[in-house]
Amino acid sequence: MIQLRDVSYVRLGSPDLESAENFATACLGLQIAERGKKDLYLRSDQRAHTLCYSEGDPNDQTVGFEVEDEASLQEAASTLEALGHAVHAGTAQEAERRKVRAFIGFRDPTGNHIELVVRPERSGRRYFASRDAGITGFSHIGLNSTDPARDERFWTQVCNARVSDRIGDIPLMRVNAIHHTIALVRAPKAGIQHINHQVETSDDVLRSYYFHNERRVRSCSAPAGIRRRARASSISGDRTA
Amino acid sequence: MHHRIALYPSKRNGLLYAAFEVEALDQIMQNSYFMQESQIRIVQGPGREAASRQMFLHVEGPDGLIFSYVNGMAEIDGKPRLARQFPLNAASLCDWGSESKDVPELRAPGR
Repeated sequence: MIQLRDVSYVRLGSPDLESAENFATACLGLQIAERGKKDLYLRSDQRAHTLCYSEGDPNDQTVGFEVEDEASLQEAASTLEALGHAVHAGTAQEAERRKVRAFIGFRDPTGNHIELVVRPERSGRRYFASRDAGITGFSHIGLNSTDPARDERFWTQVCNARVSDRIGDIPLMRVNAIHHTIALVRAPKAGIQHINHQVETSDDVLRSYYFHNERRVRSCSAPAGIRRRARASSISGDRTA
Repeated sequence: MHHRIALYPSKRNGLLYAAFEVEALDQIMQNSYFMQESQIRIVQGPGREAASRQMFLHVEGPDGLIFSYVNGMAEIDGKPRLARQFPLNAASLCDWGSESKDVPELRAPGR
């Protein structure tokens, strides 16, 4: 069984890194960790990065999960291949771009691009927000699913996820002590349905609610194809395209 | 409790609002959505007053009287302390960012 320890990062394609940067900092409040030629790395907690915008197609979306060590990674690759999933072994250069020691890539049954990573980088410096949004860290994702029951079996039987609760047909699944790290949401095609950042208190949720409300009628624009909104208990980015 | 009576500079006399304590933030939000659904005008909120840390939802009742749902007011622990001075601005009136559009007593000047 593949033992996922935590969600590690999200990688999103964007045709316009400048507006992605503007959105991620001025609106969301994330910290720029590094600007590469074609990559923008953003921090939300003690990790070196938890979100990376990469120049490209906004349909290219990847979620990374941390596993314990390279042996677990090899074991996971064998498990996935035995089940018929094509597994990509990350090259050293690709691992460097992800700020991890090693990784593999594959697609879940819906077709979501998933990466398993070993030793993702931490930062020696604490997270310093670009705006006082109260973010304490990247916490969970909603994944599109064309068949939530089938995908729930994948995440709970091939991987170690457990269903904490369900809302209708939406399973909220945990891989550690947090109530849920993955939610499966029925959708016609693969994609990330939302990206959740935890904030300190409900005060921060309400502050962001008014902050975004005010800016919706002013200047804050989201990257192409992506709409963002504040949500109860989190700040989420919801894909609508 | 941090305060029981507040005096608002005003051109008129009378009660500005009557506030009722609710259990938690959940009930402030539930009432906020209930009032929107019921098309009862929300005068301000949901919000949180910076000085008292009290969360509030002000709604318009009959004859212009405001009724409020509140929760979380700070308690004074008995140690003597000076009254703190907050400026009359939007951030003092609401930490979260809610504003009152048309009740002059609940507005900061210049907004």
